[in-house]
Order: sequence, then C-alpha cells, then structure tokens
Amino acid sequence: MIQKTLYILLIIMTPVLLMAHESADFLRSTGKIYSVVLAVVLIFLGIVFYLVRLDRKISRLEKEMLD
Amino acid sequence: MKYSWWKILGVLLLLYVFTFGFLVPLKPGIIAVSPVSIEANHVSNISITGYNSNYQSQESSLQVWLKIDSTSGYQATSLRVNGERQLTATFDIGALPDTTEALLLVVNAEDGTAIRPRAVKINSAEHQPASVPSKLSALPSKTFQTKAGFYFPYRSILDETIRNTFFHVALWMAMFVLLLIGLYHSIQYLRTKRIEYDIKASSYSYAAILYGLLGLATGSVWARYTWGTWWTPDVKLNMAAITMLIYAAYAVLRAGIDDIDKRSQLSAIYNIFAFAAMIPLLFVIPRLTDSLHPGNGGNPALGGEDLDNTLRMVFYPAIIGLFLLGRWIATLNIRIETLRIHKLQSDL
Amino acid sequence: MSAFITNIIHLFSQQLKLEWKSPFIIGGNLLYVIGAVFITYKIFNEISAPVWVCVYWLIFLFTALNSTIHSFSREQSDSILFYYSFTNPVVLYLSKVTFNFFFLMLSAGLLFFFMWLFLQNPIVDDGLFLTAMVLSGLGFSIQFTFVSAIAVHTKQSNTMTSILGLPLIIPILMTAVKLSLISSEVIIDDGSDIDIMILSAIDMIMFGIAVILFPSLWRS
Repeated sequence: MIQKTLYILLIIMTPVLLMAHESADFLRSTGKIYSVVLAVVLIFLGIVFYLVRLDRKISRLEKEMLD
Repeated sequence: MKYSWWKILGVLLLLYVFTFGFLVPLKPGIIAVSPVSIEANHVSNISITGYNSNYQSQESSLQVWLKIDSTSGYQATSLRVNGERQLTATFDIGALPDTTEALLLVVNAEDGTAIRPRAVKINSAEHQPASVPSKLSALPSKTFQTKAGFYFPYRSILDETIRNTFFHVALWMAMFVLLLIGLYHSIQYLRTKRIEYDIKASSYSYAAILYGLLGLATGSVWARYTWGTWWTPDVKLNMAAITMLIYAAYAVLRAGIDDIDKRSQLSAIYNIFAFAAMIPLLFVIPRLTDSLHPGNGGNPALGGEDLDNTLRMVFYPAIIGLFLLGRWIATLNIRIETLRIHKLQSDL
Repeated sequence: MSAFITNIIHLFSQQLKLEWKSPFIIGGNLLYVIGAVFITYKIFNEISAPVWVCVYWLIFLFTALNSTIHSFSREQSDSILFYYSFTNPVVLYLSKVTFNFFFLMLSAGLLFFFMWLFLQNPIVDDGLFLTAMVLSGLGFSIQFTFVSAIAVHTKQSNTMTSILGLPLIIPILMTAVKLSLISSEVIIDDGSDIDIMILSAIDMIMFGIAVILFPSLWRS
C-alpha cells in the first residue's frame, strides 16, 4: 500500500519537478502564471498525501475492528 | 447533511476562489524595458513590452512619460507602436544634475496608467555642454488613472504571481486559525482532562502542520520565480519555518509517549508553552530583518498598498474556504481517533 | 511569602550541596566550554567580530542545553524525588530556574574568559553585552528547565529536550545575537533599548506561562 502510493505520487510529481527544473523559462512565461499553477498543484498534492494517510489509518482501524 | 453545511460552504468558497482567482485578468502593466540605463543629454529610444495592454488600438490616446520626481517628468517626443504589446518611445532628455532612477508611465484611454517603478536609470551628464534642450515638463494632473472594471493590480516583479496571495498567503492565515483552535482545545483539556479535547487539539494542530508545510512549499516556489531564490530572508517565510519546527517538535513529543493520559497532558502543556514562545517572533523577526537587510525586508503580501479591494474580494473567501477545508480534514482525523479510543475502552 | 522564599533558598542550597558532592556535571560543563573554544581557535585562528559573536552564542546555547538537560532526570532514581513530591511545584521550579541561571552565568563567564584568552574580545559596549547575556541566560534557563521537565516523561528525555527546546529558544537567541552585534559595533542601530525591552518581555511572558503551567505538569 505504501509503496503503491509512493509510486503514484512519484509518477504525478515527476513532470512537475521536471518542469520546475529543466524549463524554468516555461514557468516564467505568460507573466509567471505557471508558477502559480505549480503552487496550486503542490497544495493539491499535499492534500492528496493527507488523504492517503487518512485512508491507511481507516484501513488499520477497520482491520482491528473486524479481528 | 444538516451538520455539514460548512463543508459545502468551504468547497463553494474554494470553487469561487479558484475560478475568480485564475480568471480575472490583471491590469495592464509593463513587463520589460530596454535599455534600462540611458544617458542624460541624449536622445534615447526605449523599447517597452507591455502586459495585457492595448497599444495599437489606443494609439491615438497613448502617452509615455519618464517621471523624475513627484511633479515633473519627460514626455516621449515620438512613439512607434509595433503591435498591442510593443512600443518604442523616444525621449529628449536634457542635462540632469543627478543620476536618477526614473519611473515609467504608459497611459492610454483604454488601459489607464501602467507604472514601472525604477524602470530606467538616467545617468547624469553634468559636465557635458547641453546639446539637447531639456523637455522637462509638469505631469498632467490626470496621469494616474486606473482601468475601469474588475481587474487584479499589476505589480512589476510579481506579475501573475500576485494570484498566489489567494493560495499561499491565505493558506498561512488559515493555518494560524487552525493553530488557535488547537490551542483553545489544549487549554480546555488542561481544565477538564477530557480526552476528546486532546483529540481535537492534536487533530487541529496536525491539520495546521499540513497547511504550514504546504505554505512553505508554495512560498518557496513563489520566491523562486519572483526573487530568484528558493529561500529568502522574508519575514513571513522564516516565521512559518520556525512555527513548523515547533509543531514538528509537538508531533515528535506525542509520538514519544505511550501512555495516553500522560501524552494528552504533556502535549497540551507544550502546545500552550510553545504558542507563548512563538508570539514574540512577531516582534523580534521584523526588527531583525529591518536592521540586517536595510530596504530588503522582503515583499510583504499583506501591506496596505499591495492588497487592494479586488484582491480582498477573493483573498478573504480564500482564507475562510481553506480554513473550512482544514476543519474538515481535522474532523476526519478526530472521528478516526475517537473511534480508536472507543475501541480501546471497549477492549478493556 | 517569606516561607515561600525560604523554601526556594533551602532547595537551592540543597541542590548546590548535591552538585558539590558530585561535581561531575560542573566539571563536565567546564571542560565542554574549554574544549569548544579551543576547537574554534584551532579552526579559525583569527576570527572576525560577527563570527566571534555567532560562535559565542552557539557555544552558550549548547552549554545551556547541556547543563539544564539533567535538571529533573537525575533525581528520577534518587530518593530526593520523594522529597520533591511534598514541595510546592512552583517552589521547585523556581529553585531549579535560579540554580540553572546561576550555573549558566558561571559557564557564560568562563566562556567569555576563554574566548577572550584565545580569540580576543570584539565587544565594545560591555554593558549592553552583559545585559544581553543576563537576560538571555534567564530566558534560556526558564525555557530549558520547563522543557526538560516535560521531556523527563518521555522515552529519550535528553534528545527530547533539544528537540522541544531549540525551536522555542530562537526568538531569544536572535535578539541576543543582534544585541551582541550592536555591542561589538558590527551593526549600527540605536534601537537597542527596544530589543532589551523585547528580551525582558519574552522572559517575563515565558516565566509567567511556565509558573502557571508547571503545577499541572509536575503533578502528572
């Protein structure tokens, strides 16, 4: 479960990181609007990360309840 | 359904923030000027790249000024417009007593006034004979006018990233509200010793930590594309970092104690103590940055000048929306922890 | 009230006797200070005023941490813990803070002496530097004593003291460093009075909060 979520996160993160590092000019184009997009994507990823943690907590609780 | 009206409200507010935060255009601005340094006592051509501007369609009312001091400046003697976003202005600048960093103004009927502070440095040419007659004249009184309609302000280095106010700054404010709620529940725990207050306090604090980490990450990105570094001595960024250190310590403390009652007691005490220790930062850090980095105290996004009414119309809903989302996150955690405690009690 | 103060003095002198009987901690701290200064001297050889100030405060910080870390943990196994359980927690806390404060001032004096010996003395305004040292020493002992009382209850109390204490100390440390930089004329700032006021205000706030919270902490 942990590995799976990590892989998924990595897959989502990779293009973002690549964008951030390799083509900084792209992020600066159109009045730097894409850096705002990057910030929003980061917030989204953070909330997804929290959801994954919550998910795992609930699964553990479920397992304990059923045992 | 009856009890989740605030969740719906939070989502709707965030929807409003995302829609208007991204769709409302910026006011016209000046994105680039070249050359940035010219000689006085010369005729100079300056090419100006606009942003969201209408140079071509408003060519008849177009005026370009280089403002030297509060009342006077040089008006461009001739203009060559190359499209809506490009123009080249010619200035006849006479001898200047001092080297001046002039403010550039581009005015037309549709766009209002676009301003770029310290746009062009005019090097004084005092010792040369005056070859170019000075065209210094008083600025017309209605030079400063704003574009009518609903637009976000244009700030020269920030450009579109002024929209980060709704995401990054609002995140930080929401974090602070969540911390305050966590603190309140910690105090309540010490007064009543009831475990649900501990669960609430820790859940709100954890949600605040999540927001704080996101705030740091978004702040870093913002700094990278406006000031050029991932980390700056900006007041608020460093405040947030210290807050995160303190609350990470809070999380470590909770992880380090097995006994539930002891954990609740100690973490409540530490939460209150840490919050009291954090308050002086509000007074200490601004003084520090002001004295160590003169004129370099960062770019506060909440200064009176930076936050105008159009920004406020999205910024305040963003704070409320993000706070409600954080409250939602915290309540989920509270429900899980409450279930776990109930289970522990029924097992005994 | 006078009984209150007598109690504090009594506990204080008792602790002094205890330290005197096993001077391990005092000797250890003395050695720590000398060692740290000597290493700094060997690394830098010559040192500029800002670096001097930074090194001074870093060593000061870790000396404070080292000496206060054991405030409560050492008594755990001792029969004295039994005795403490009968005393007023506020009295206990005050005596610990006083002891730690005096001990810290002693260490700071030694630190200053050895820094002077090996690395000169860039401080121009002695009074300002001394004020910063006393006020921040007070703040350090107030915060670290309190935090070590929290950390005693955890599994790794020594590590926990540093983890819990270091972020809290940042405001005091930063103000103290700024005052020292002013007193060594690295930065020119005529607002040092306000910084001293801030430092005293931090001390008072932390002291108030600590005294309010300590009884409920000690009872647990």
